Amino acid sequence: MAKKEDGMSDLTQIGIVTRYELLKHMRRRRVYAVLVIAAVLAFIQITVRWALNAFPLRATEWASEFFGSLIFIIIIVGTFFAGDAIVSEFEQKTGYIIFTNPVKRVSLVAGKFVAALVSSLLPVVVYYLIGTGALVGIYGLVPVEIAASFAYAILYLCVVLGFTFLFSAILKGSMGATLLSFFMFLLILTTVSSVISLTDNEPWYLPNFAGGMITQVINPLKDTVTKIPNSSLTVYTFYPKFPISIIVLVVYFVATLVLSMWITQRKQMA
Amino acid sequence: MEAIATECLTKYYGKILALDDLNLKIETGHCVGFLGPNGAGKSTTIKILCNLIWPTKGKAYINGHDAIKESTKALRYVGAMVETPEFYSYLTPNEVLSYIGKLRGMTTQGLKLGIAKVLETVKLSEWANTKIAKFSRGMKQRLGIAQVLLHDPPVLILDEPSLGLDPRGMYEIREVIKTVISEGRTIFLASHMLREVQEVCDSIALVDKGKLLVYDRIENLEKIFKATKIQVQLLKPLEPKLVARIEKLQNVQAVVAEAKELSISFKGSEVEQAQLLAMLVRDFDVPVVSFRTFLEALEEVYLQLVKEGN
Repeated sequence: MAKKEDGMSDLTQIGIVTRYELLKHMRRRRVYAVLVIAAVLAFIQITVRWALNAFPLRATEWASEFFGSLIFIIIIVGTFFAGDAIVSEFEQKTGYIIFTNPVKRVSLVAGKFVAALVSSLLPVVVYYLIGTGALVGIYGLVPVEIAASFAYAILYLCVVLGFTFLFSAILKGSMGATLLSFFMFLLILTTVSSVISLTDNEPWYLPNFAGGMITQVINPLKDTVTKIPNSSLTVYTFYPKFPISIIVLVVYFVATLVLSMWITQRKQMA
Repeated sequence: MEAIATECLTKYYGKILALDDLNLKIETGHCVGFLGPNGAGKSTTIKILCNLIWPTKGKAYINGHDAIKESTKALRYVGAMVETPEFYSYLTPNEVLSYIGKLRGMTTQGLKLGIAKVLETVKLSEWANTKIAKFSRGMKQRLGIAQVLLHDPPVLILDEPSLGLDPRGMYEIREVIKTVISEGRTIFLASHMLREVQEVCDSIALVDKGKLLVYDRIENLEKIFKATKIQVQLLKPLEPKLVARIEKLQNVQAVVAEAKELSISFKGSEVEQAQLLAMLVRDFDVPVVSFRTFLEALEEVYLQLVKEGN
């Protein structure tokens, strides 16, 4: 990182922005809201299975199912914390105060990203803690693959945040950026990857497909081809693979974040 | 060295020309009022200087640093308040000033003293720990001034600093600006309030439709345009006939009589002003209580120039 003449590095400024952005997330109480959502979702999953006394035999099978819901949580928290990150400075005109300081806009975006990542990571960590606790309680063990799953979850969260930051840099309203990102991951990408799979093509290049590694790494499944009886229809089911999924996720993360920084750097505040 | 300089600064918003070849040089230690009607290009110029927008053509400098290419270096010398400032509503003045001060590299001790000082200056000390969400527009305006002053910048760029303030607040802000000027700092002040500009600035840059119409010291402008308004306080109201006679006097352009007050538009030198006063008292037997140059003389200059510009 470049050291400024007055001794203040870009890294220091990123740290300052991160601290005050974290304060924003805390003061708005969004952090607590998503923590509750994550905890409630986790407990529902556990108690329903417990009430039905229907836990699978293998720990990895149940863990794969349990952490499958995490993708939904990641999308919620990612869009929740990043939707207004950049656009709000323009929309609420706070940029007139912050942009007139000797701080690179790239540093501002970086600080905001770190704060959004930390805030979004909290419910994810809580979900993993509850999940691992349940694994110990039910099966008496924690599969080592859970750690790899957690790493994939962080990577997928970075991708969701990256896209949301990009929309936040492009669009003129916080709500638009949040909703676009939310529906893109929850609806649009899911539909597109399903349609592509139906044509016997693996959508390995789509971020949501690669994000499936969160559960695939715990309980690996093989691609399947299912012929529907008395029909000409064939259903192709694909699962993400190592290491291409990591590459795909990293590329999306870096590309969207760099692009959002580039756009913010060039966005005028008329 | 100029504290602020623009060279052929031009800005188009789509097909609309907002700034047309603006050349402006402001020497260090001067206070320049930046005047012009709405849409004249004042805010556009200020936003370019503050790295909020970029010119279509031309250059802008602050203390010799390119305000566009070396914006972080240039902004280090600047305390700026653009339009009505909006702050992070979830923070308190103490927190928002800490945030800005830290980004500018201020030390913890410097911040503590600096924040207390500027909040005292803008009369916000008792609100230091109240969330900004509860602030009125005037209070935000005061906080805007506080963040401008926090790091003791040598160059202050202010866009309508008194907007939204009550008369007392306007007076206090003017006093703050006067103090800053006395410390030898440079001020570039965009305002619609001619009285404010006349009271605190030494020079005026007048823009209209993106073009610089005139840039000179206030006294020079008043001489050039010979636009003086004289306010005469009277013991008793004058007869309309007498008002009509005064209106016909040499150098008098118009007279407005309102109760025990006369407002005379006058084109002439100081000697001729003295002759007018003598004439009013001696020849017309006008019961004069006070006779002084009306503060809105600048208004005449403004109106003449903007009209001519059109």
